[in-house]
Amino acid sequence: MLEGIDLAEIEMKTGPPPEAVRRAVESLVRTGKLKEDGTRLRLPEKLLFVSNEVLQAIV
Amino acid sequence: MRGIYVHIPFCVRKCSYCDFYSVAGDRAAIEDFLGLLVREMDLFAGKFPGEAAVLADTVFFGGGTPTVLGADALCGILAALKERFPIEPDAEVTTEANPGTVSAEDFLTLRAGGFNRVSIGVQSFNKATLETLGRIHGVEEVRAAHRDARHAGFSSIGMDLIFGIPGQEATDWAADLDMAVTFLPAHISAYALAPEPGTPIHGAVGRKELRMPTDDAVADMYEETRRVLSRAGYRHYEISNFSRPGAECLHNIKYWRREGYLGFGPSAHGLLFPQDKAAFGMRTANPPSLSDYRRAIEERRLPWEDVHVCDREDAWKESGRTPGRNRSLRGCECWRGSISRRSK
Repeated sequence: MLEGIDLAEIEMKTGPPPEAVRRAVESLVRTGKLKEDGTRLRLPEKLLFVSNEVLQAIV
Repeated sequence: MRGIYVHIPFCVRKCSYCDFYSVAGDRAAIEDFLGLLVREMDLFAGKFPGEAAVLADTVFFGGGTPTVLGADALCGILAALKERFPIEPDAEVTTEANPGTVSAEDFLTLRAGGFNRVSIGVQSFNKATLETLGRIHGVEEVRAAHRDARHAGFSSIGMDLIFGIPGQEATDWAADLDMAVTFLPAHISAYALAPEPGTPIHGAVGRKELRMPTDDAVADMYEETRRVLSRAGYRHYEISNFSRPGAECLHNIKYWRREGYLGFGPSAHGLLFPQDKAAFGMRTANPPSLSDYRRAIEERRLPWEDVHVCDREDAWKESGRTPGRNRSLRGCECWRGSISRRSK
């Protein structure tokens, strides 16, 4: 879980991310609610407990 | 590979916090349900032969209380699945089992019948907390269930716990964690309670008969969970789930990785990938009603009350979810609407 997801792998399976998803993710990364690590994207450990709030910003 | 989820919609008694579909069932209702379930499998295999041919490596029986059916019936369902769908010989096959509804003999039957993982619905070891939750068991039943499961040869035993319960103090939760660890289960789920509308506990909180712990108090309990379980050698692999290395629940992980799964039984959900119809996946939802479920099957149609063909945006949103649930007992998922538990 703490490893996050591999964006490159998802892109390979489903094509490039839709604009709305890309914008939401960029905003969350900018505000520190998601962390980028190479091609991986993950929740910072301190935000695990409120992950619903973070991830609902994308949906 | 894919998973298979079977929802058993019966309980001895409805717990005060639970909003999953279940009813009290007598023997006749259970027999009727077993027949419907097999007919649903046949309907699916007939209408989606390509999907039915995909190899499964996990099977999960949830509910409700699957063990209310009795071990022979559960083994019968598993055998019916194996007759109709290819399932890996060493697939992870789990059933939820509530203390007080399963005997030593049941565990032996389940093990011999192909189940290799059991998830025990402990929820708490504290008598007052169990009463608040409306559970029918006590600590002795938990001990017995765990002992009997081990004696039957189950090496992968999980325990489900709940925290953030009205009346539960930090010390109570710490004691629950300490007690759980003494059993050395392979897997521990620790869910934060979020009372769902329509449940007795939600009503009692609304009427101020019960008071929820503050968010800060619940967050502290979560942090305590992580501390205690990581010190005890558990890996925090999903927001509410901890396991010994290598003992993660593969079926649970499948949901989060957006791998396909079939759902059978009332209220069960599925995710299919029929390439000619839905390259990005197709979500299916059975009705949370035995009568609606029966009606559909008697009319020889799949009991899907909702079918959603996913597009690329859905696939991205759902693929992007970090495995895990928090602040909820299944009702409030990380990616709302994208995963229905097991999704139920």
